[in-house]
Amino acid sequence: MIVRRKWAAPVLALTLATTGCGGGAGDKPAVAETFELTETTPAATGDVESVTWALPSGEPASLDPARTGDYSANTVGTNLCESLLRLNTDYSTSPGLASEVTQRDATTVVITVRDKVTFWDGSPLTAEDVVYSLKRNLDPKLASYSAHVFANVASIDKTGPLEVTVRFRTPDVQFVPDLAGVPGAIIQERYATKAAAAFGTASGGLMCTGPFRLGGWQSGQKITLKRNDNYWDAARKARAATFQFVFLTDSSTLTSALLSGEVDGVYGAPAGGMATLRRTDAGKLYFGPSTETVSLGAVAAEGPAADPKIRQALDLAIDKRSFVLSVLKGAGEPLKTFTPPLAWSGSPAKSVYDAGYAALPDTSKADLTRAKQLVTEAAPSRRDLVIALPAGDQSLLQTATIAQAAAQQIGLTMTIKQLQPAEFAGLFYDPTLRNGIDFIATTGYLEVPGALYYAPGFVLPGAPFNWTNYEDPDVTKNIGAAVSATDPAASARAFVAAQAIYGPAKLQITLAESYNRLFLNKRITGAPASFSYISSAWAALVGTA
Amino acid sequence: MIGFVARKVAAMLGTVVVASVVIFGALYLAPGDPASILAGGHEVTPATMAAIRAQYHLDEPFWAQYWHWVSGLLSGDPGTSMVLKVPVTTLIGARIGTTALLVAYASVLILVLGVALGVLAGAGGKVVDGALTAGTTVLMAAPAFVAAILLIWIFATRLAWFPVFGSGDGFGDEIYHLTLPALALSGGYLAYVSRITRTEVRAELAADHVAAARARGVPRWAVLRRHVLRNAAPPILAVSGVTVAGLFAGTAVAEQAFGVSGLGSLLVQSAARQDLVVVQVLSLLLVTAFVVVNVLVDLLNAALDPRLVKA
Repeated sequence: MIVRRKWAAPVLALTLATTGCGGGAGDKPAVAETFELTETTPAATGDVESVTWALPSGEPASLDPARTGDYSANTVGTNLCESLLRLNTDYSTSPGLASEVTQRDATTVVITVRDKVTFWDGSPLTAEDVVYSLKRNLDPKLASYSAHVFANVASIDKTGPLEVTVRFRTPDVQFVPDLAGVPGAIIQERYATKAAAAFGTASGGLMCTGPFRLGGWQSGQKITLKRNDNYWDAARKARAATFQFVFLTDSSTLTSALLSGEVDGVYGAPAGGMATLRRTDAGKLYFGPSTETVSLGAVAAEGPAADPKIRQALDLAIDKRSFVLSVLKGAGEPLKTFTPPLAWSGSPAKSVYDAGYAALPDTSKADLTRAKQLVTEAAPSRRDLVIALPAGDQSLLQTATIAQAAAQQIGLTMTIKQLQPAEFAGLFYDPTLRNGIDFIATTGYLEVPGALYYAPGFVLPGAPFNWTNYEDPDVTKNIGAAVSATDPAASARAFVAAQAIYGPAKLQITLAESYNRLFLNKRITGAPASFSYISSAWAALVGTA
Repeated sequence: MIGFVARKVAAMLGTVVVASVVIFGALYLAPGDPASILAGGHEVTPATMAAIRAQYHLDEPFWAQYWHWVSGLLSGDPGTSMVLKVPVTTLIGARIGTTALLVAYASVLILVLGVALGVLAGAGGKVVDGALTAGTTVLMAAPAFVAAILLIWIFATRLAWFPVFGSGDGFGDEIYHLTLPALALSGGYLAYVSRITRTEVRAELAADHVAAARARGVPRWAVLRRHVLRNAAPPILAVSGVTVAGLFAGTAVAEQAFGVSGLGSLLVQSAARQDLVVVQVLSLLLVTAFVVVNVLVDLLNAALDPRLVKA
């Protein structure tokens, strides 16, 4: 067990949410809640017949990698369809279905496909399958969730019996780490073309190489994975003969099912049941480092939100520590910028990134005097703002309410607007839907490593998420250098230089990182506790305690 | 009688047609672009959006879209889920049995327990009546989701008599899994039916013909059966019918809370994901079930009391 960071919340009487399923969750003496962060749980000692795992986000819509990009689909799918690179618990990468991925120059990536890997049906993994799997992300008709990863790709070709070369129109060193996630997942061309639109659905099935194969998918009930006995990596062969996923979206029912042992484990254990789950002897609740963040994003090119002084004022008005205590129940920590440190913790240039992060101003404590002064200096044309969030998300509603209270303290009025999911999703591609909205409350995560995962999309002129029309020549120059540098240290230095400028501009008012919450029944162990599960074949590691 | 049945069926069809326009129209007018859901909420090019809109007829006027939907429904193809990319018939087929069983189970609980407790409260002594009145008050006040939390806590977590969640495999296992959901679902309705029964039984007991029968020395049970219950039956039946019809809507809460894979939880999940195609079909299905059960109750009442046919 690796203990990476430890953080003790200030001494405060915590209001522990009762889950309703009892267990006597109630008042506790005012003690400091400590959260010991761990990347992994103790290794499994033996094989286990069957494990039942809950998906709190509900049934996945599809297991086709092109349609995988959320909690449920990733939690299941990454155990079935492996990627070219493997994501480790510290967010470093190692070879996966590719024995080697080389960034030959700024615009060329060469992938060496691992030899003697077979699909579940026994047929060998070929370079053609890799070309097919990567290329389908370019097909506009498929509308792959990973399409943005391939935005700078010019060509993908087989260049040897087990070699694939990817060429880029513009340099993009983030592409290689992206291959550790769903964008780098490999499927069998023959099966996928035959299954066509049904590929990845409950009826169409899958054909991949992972440590588990898809055993069955009873729509609405459960997804069953069966161990792949011919898995290529003897060291990472699945410990469980069957792994069953059930869909439990009601947090109180889920907590009860974990307490009764009907469900063995869950990622994203309900925050409301945290106190009960920490006390039970049915199993253990682990906290791990994560890339999950909660932020307020400025989404207007005009008005107060487009003014960095107003954004900085709002940032200073919100006390991040109380935010963590009230919304995340203490299981998180304030962040200084939108790219969380786990994104680079496995990088060879980690020390450069860490120093850059440490140099950013710390605004975790509220400073109302300075915030009010900034509002006066900014002298905004209007003082009423609108913050939007997806309807029905309780923790984002709480977040927006905190922002509203903070805004009021510095002389701004903030109206909360809850949008239907389709409307909220629409904001991301239709600028007209953002009219009349200044901020959005949102959560996000990185499923792959890389400091350059977020930044280019947020800070470059004309970038997809640069909704305030932010433009700074030094930032543009340095991000450009960072995405084209093949030397990790050079890339890190350029990134850090850019971050030092755009970080304080608070394009995103990043409030906190939320720790990964993993609950394991006492009979099992081995699952990674860090958020790296989102892109790794984690279930293979789960066995008897 | 044939005219009566024809009138009822015509009214039922009319209701369903109006409901279909209202349901389709409500979701048509709902804020947000369904194409963004189809695109998965991710960045897409305008060309991709246009292709999606054309594929799902989202670029056509309202009545054209409505006609596509209704003609699909009539030909037995209600479409494909926008999110799950699976035919709606497949989704419904996999779940309808569970929901039907849950509604049947809850109906039996409501009818048997509700009527029995009502008769007991009406004909029993003061103590029995008081206890039952208090009990039914609590039941009526507790919403299904609160009842669900309590039932899970007591019978699943503490006593471990029943499973916390799931639908079960095979009839016996399904009944076992659906017991707590059926109790949570029937609670309020059961209390309501027992209250109505109690009132009707009370009224009948106070009637002259009952007093006369008693005076003639007819045994207490026979009076209850022949005179009281027979006359109290039609109003109880009418109320029970509406109650059972209403269960279809109530399944959403009970199924969601107990992780039961039925039409109700499918409706909740589809609504959360804005899977309009599924929401439209399920809403219409629930309205239809409600209307059909009501018509059946009307016909049953008419059979019991032929005077209603002429009315």
